[in-house]
Amino acid sequence: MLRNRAAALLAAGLLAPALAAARPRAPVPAAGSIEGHVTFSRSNAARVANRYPGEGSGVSHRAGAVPAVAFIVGAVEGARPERAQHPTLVQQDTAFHPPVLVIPVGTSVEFPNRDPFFHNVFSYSAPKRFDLGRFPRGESRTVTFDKPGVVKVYCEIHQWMRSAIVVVENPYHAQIGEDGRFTIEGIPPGRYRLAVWDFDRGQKLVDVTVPPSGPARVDVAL
Amino acid sequence: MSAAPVRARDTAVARFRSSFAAKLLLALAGSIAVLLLATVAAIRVQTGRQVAVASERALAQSRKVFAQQESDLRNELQDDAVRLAGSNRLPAAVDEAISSGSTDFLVQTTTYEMSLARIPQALTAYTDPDGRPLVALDGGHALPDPATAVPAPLIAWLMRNDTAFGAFGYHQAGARLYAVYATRLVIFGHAVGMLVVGTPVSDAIATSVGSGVGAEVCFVAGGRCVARTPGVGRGGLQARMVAAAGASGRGERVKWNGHRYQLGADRIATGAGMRDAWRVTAIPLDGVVAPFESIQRVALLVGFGCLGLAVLLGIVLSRGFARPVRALVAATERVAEGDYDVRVEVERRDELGTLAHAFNEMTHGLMLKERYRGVLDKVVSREVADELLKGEITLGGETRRVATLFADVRGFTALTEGMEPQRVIALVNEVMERAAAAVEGEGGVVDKYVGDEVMAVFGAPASHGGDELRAVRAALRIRASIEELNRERTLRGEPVLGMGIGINAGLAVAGNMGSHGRLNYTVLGESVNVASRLCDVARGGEILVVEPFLRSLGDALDAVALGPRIFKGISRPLEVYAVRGVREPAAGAEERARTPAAPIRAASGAVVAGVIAALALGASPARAQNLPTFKDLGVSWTSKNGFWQVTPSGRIDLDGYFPGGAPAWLVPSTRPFVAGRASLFVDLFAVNRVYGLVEARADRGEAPADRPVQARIEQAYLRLTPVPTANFSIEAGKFVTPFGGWPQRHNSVADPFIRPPLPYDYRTMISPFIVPGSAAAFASWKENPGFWRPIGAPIVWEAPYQFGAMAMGGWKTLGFRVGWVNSAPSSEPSEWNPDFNQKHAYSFVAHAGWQVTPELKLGVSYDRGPYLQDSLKGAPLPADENHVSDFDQRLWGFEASFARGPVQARGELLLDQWDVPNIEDPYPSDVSFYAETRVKLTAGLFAAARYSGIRFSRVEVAEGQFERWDYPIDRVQLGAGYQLSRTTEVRAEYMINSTSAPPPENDNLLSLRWSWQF
Repeated sequence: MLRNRAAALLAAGLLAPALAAARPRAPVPAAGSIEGHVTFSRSNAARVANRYPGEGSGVSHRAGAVPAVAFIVGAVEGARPERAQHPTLVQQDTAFHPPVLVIPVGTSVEFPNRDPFFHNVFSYSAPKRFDLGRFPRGESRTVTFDKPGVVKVYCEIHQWMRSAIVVVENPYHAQIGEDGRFTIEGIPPGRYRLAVWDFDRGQKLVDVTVPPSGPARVDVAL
Repeated sequence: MSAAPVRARDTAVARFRSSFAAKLLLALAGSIAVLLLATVAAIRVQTGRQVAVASERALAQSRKVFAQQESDLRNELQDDAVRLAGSNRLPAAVDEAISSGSTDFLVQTTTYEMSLARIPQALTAYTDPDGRPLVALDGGHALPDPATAVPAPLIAWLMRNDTAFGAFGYHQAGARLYAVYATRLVIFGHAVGMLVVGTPVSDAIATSVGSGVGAEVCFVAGGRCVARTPGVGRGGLQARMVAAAGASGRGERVKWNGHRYQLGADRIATGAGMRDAWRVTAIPLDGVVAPFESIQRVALLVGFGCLGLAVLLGIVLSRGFARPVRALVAATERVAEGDYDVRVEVERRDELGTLAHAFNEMTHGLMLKERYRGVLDKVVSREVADELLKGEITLGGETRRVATLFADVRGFTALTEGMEPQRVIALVNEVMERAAAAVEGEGGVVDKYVGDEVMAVFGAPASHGGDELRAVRAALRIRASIEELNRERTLRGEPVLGMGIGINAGLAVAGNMGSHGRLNYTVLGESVNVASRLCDVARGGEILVVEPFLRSLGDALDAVALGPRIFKGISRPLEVYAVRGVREPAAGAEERARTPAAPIRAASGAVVAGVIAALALGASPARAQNLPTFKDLGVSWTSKNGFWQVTPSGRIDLDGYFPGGAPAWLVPSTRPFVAGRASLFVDLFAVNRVYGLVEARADRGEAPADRPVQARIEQAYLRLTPVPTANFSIEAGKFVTPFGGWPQRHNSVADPFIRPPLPYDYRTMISPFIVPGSAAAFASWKENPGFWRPIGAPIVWEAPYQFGAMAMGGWKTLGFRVGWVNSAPSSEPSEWNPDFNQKHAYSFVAHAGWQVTPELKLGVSYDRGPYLQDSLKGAPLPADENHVSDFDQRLWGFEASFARGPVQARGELLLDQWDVPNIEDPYPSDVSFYAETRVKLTAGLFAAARYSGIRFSRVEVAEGQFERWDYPIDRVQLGAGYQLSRTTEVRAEYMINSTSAPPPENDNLLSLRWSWQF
């Protein structure tokens, strides 16, 4: 724990001059936005009640809800660089927190276990396949995601645990609300490919032209 | 030979069919056979039932065992499926494979997971949520086409049934059948795909199903056996079991490798749309069927035993029944033929015995009656006897119109003077016999004999109509018969008889006359007296009638008037006529109708020719005719010290003879017949000093004839060679004559023909039994028509096997044989056997030969000996030479033979002279000859021709008058032969005889022969 904090402090100390240095170049000549609306189809949602019997606890667990995410695919010229703080995907109360994590390419993610029992985090997704094995409370593993794409994360022991890590190359992304709406702002004008992704329904790509000012409106059926 | 025996056989078959024996046999054998069939049928039905019960039981048992097996299999697979699908890993991997489109990682993960779960050899397959195949692995290796490993019907069923966890079934992939379990792969309630796990239906499963019931099991899918028990093998049973798949339930019964099985099939594939898979069970039936089979075997054995016993019993019973019936039938036939002195010996107490007893009593009664009747017939004529037996015996009588005939021998007293009484009686009886036969033949009645006179009545006691003409015909027949008798008497040198005959007709009193103790039926009247008077005046050979009689017959009689005559007791003179004959129209038509049935002869000839032709041709391939010899079979005997050696050999000839219609001299028959001979030769050798030969022969006569087969010892002799190095031997016994050039060749391959040349075949008129009275009589014999010619001695008998002794020897190219034998060369076979009472008959015979060159050989023979027999007939021997042994036959023979290459030629000339009683010098003599040639045409085939003839000398018939004693005769023989094999041969010969002697009959002869030497 102490070591983690020290590392976090060290990382913050290293990153701070970089963030400070970026700020003077901040004025961006023009910025547009994308305002989207996603229509979720019922058919691709989980068909069976997403409850899993707890192991001997008698408690039913609801499968973790993973929000849908919209993001622009590929690097964006002139985008402001994003420096996320050291991200973690915590296993607590037999669930992953946060339910979805968006990180830039090259970011390392920590997977601390805060439950009083073992977890076995793994992913078979192509951008990053990993299997952290079983580790007990208080231990953590770190994985560096060096390719863009969506990585589905499961626990082998607890089937209802799931999460996703969206590895992006630009800072333009947004979580899609329950009503299907999302807004991505500050995008330089131009043509982009927008990915809309949902854990159960998969991913859909649409081409979007962002004007110099004002929002570009996108409607996607997923 | 003819059609008659065939008919006889047909009727014999028909008789058997309708006989009691046949019916009894049929009844006994039939009922046993029905019983046997019923038993076998019952056993079969029961066997079938037991097989059905046992096989149903075994099938049910095997179903139960398999159901357990299947349930275990299903549970195992389901456990595996739960284990694999229960983790997030495989669903995650499938999800990833679907979203990335690459299955490599899925394969890798699966392999890992399977090895973790320890399910190494299983089939694994995935589909996407819509059932499209993704990837399949078998034993850890990805299959090139995952679709083949996916049981589409199971997946479809699973997609339709949301709530089901999984589905079990069978799936065929390639040469294997898998038990498969399909289940859904779910993450967070979301189906990401399907998982199929399978395990092959293996031989081990078949074995564990089969061992429970001791059956053979074969799993069949897609028309092939995919798993089986070791006993199924790859052969017939497997094929039959595969064929049995397709229809549920009990199938056929099959036999394989000596074991019987009942096949049964069950469909195991479940679920709609699944390809058929079957479990075929072969239940061994040996244990079920064996007891029934042994019962059936015993039943059959007993049944056939009973059948045989029944047939035997039937034969015995019917024999026991048929024998007395046959005896009764034979006795009845004899009674029908008139023999009443017959008794049936049936020693039985049953109904047949009673019948036989009754029959015997009946015949005894008949015999007594016939005996009385016989006595009556001898005393009175048959017709009178008939009248008497009818009981109409009346004294006195009736007046009838009758014709009477009287005949008596002229000069009988003078003729019989000095004759012995027995010979007189014999002569009278012979004449009366002939006269009575003629009278009865015309329907007359011999009334009485008075000395040498016969009285015959026509028209009483019963008239047949035309009695006058009948009387004349009877007279003509008597005359002809006496003429015939006279011819015989002439040949015998006896004086001829003359018979005078008188006939008249008119009213006469007919009736039984005499006393009550002795009655005599006769006729009385003037007309009768006239007939008697006419007889008295008739000269020898005359038939006299008077004018009224002649007139009463119109112009039916050819008669010559002799003028009026006065008869004693008759008031007026009567015109007398001598009858020459009866003018009867259309005579001779009947004669023609009686000529021998030529078609029958032709038909029987054809049958014999067919038999011999079949022997010659039908059986040739030469090998079939290559019958073995004793030598081939190694039959011979040698004594232990090698001193004696006995070697048998044999020869069988089968001949067919087809006479042209008249006897061809030594062949006496006029109809075709089959003859031949079977000879067994036994040669005996003792060192090189003694040689012996015995020939036993069976044939239809020495000269072939249509008569019973007889057997005899033809040759038996011993030959002693005192000094083995010197060419000299002596021989004694019964052997073929050394005379001439033909007898030794007779019946051997050296003779190319079947029948001999004329000098060895023709019967001269010089008879060993009949002596001519004079040279004139002798010379006239040749004019007699065929039947009346004496059948005399041949010049040389066909091949004389006489009894005697002989010395033989040789020097360089010369050779000789000299001996004494017990009969002349012309003597009959009956004279050849040793008869030591016959002192006179020794005959001298000699032969000398000279081998001039290797090709040419010359020979000369001589034979002299008495030929007459003691039982002479005819004229007496002259007083000064009263021994039959004083009359010799003298015979010279000259022969030559030549052979070069394929041609052989032979010739012989015989000079023959006879001493004949009552004939002076020049004695009857003849010259005979033959010349023959034989040409070998190809290997085995030869043709031959022979010409032979006889010329007869003149004898002095009157002072200074000479006449030949017989007509010249010639013969041509044409023959051919073919050697079928080393041991068998066929030959044919046609013989043409030609003479100017009176009988112009066709005495040509066709002969065929098949012979086998062994």
